[in-house]
Amino acid sequence: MSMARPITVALILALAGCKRTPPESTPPPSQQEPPRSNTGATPADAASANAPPSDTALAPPAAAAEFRAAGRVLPRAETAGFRQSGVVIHSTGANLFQQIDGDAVSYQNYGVRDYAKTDYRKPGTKLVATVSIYEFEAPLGAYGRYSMHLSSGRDPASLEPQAVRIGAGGFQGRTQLVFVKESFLVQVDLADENEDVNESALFAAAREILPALARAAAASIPGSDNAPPAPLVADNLVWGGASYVSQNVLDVENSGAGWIGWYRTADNKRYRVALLTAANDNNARAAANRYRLRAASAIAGTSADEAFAVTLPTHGESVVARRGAFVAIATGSGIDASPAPSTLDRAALTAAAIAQLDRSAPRR
Amino acid sequence: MTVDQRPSRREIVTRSAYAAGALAASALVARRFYDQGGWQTRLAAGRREVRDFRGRDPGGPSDFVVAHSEIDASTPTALVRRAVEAMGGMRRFISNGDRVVIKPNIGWDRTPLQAANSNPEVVAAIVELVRAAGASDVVVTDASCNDPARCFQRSGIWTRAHRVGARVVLPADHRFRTMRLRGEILDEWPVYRTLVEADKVINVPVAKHHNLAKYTAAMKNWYGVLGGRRNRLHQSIDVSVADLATFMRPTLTIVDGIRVLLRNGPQGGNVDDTRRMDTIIATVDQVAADAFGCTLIGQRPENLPYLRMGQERGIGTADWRTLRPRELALYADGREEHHALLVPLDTDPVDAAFALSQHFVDQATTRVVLA
Repeated sequence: MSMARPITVALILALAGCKRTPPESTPPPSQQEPPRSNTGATPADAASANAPPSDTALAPPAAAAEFRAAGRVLPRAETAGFRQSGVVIHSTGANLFQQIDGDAVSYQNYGVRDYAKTDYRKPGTKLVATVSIYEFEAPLGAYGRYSMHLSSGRDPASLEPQAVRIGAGGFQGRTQLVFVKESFLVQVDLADENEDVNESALFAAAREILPALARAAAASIPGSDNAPPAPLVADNLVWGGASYVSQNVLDVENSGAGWIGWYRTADNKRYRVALLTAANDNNARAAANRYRLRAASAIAGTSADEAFAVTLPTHGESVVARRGAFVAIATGSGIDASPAPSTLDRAALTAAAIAQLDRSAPRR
Repeated sequence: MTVDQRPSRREIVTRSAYAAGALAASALVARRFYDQGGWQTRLAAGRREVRDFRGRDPGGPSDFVVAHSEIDASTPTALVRRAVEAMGGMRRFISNGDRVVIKPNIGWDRTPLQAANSNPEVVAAIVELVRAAGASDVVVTDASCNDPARCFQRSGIWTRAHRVGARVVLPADHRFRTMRLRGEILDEWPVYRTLVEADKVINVPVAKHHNLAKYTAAMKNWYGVLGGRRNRLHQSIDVSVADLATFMRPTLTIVDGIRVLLRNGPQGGNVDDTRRMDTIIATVDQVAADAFGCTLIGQRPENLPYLRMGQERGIGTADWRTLRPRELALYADGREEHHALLVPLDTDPVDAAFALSQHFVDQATTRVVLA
């Protein structure tokens, strides 16, 4: 029997096995799986294969049923010439990773429950405003995450010129407005999809549309415009200086939640005071001990149950004082600037911590 | 009388034996020569799986280049070109006929001004260089976090990359395949095939703040290789980042530091949280890229555990001083300075990096890097 046939078969099979995987080709837009887009544009709009859509057309508004859950506070009426355009994107708090990646943790730590966002476009322009709604389990969660916006990597007082009176507080930058009201944290952004952006025109448009959309959203949120009460000493507190931290206060792990007040003295010295509130004296003692690093030195002669000075790794010299179930930690400015602002000395830090304890747990 | 045409039992056995032999031979040949998609597959230490796209590097004058300019004194395109030239040119990395994938960060439905995605001009400049170096196919893609069409469109990358001849591929479910990464956290996971089926892969992250990872650029950019549920990725984010950087070894890393998101990352949104830095970092070492790059946002490498893990796993070095670093400084008056960065080993590399990255941001900063 001839060997030709099996050899031919073997060669065909071998060649098939050696075949390189062809480069993945981008199907023509008409064959491409149309991605969801709330602009209404898909690759099918493209003039040629894998070309971008030629225009960001105003998509029809979302159906009324889409304005549910957190989306119920999204503005629906035309606002300052901007119309809601395209779908409403929804997510539960637990699923937020799929929308905002690792940033979700910073919202989940504050008890985010629901999320919605949608776009608003101005016909005839490529301006697009996006409203994002984060709904939390409680007003304290919304306020806490808002306070992180203010103080993350900067001095909250530096945003005082941007303060807006919407809800329980907010600030407006050149392309973003953030405010908090009750259990809602709302972000409104404006972007220009033009290739060459006229920045001054964009910023001018933002000054008009951002507060308009924010006020429309705030009007849909029932309840008061009051922030959750901060149990901090009010004297010398700077604008935006009451931060609520969900965990790891002053970067000490397992400290639990707490408040941090940002202060400025009359002679422009800066300092912060953190307050931890425990369920009982023993828990407070344990919390204080988390800050008692090596080389902590006791401070005598105070009205606190215990007090000591310590150098915290990322915050420098600090004073920790406990009275009953309350722990106060006074520390430096927390402002990364050159030159660093001057702060209080140890005696003054101790006085600041004791003042906080006096407010939280009056002397027995 | 009729002749029985049916084969005899002996003939059937013989033919079956030949067929079995042929099949066995073809299987052996196929096993020997099977091309697994153009990548070099090998198992790293600890039996981790690796997609190594580094190829044969003939070497060049530098393995680590920082190109930066005074604001508006140059363009992103010029900075990319200068940086790659200073490494020896794109032909050092790309050969004729290579199928090249460029992986920017296109994760967010943000515009370039918001600095959450890689700069579209940077991406386009790299596409042009790769094509000029002889690549047969240049793909630009990413597995976006937000809706892909919004991200690709609003980032400006779709338009710019397409215009200079790249194939822009949007992620879709059918382009993912479950693979075993054998990482410490990431074991079996849906992997974006378009990103790993190439001869060469160029990593083009944007340098920015990240609320959870503190800083994101080169190593974390590989999150765009994965599909599936993202929440599991973030339970031990540093280990996940190290796992992915172990899996993906790019040909070249070009970090976009044109406009840097300094806080409220990775989403951003507020232009006030960004700062023009007009900086490009080009290197063969993704760990070094991040060790230097994190100083752009005022972060220190020792605060990023994934850098230590990357170094321990042999992915790269956090000490960029060992990579024959070079600096290119472009001034508004047209001057160009080219330095070989001779940073004494007793100089803290972080101080040196801070001084370099702040050079054009804060003119009062005294440069400590010795040229």
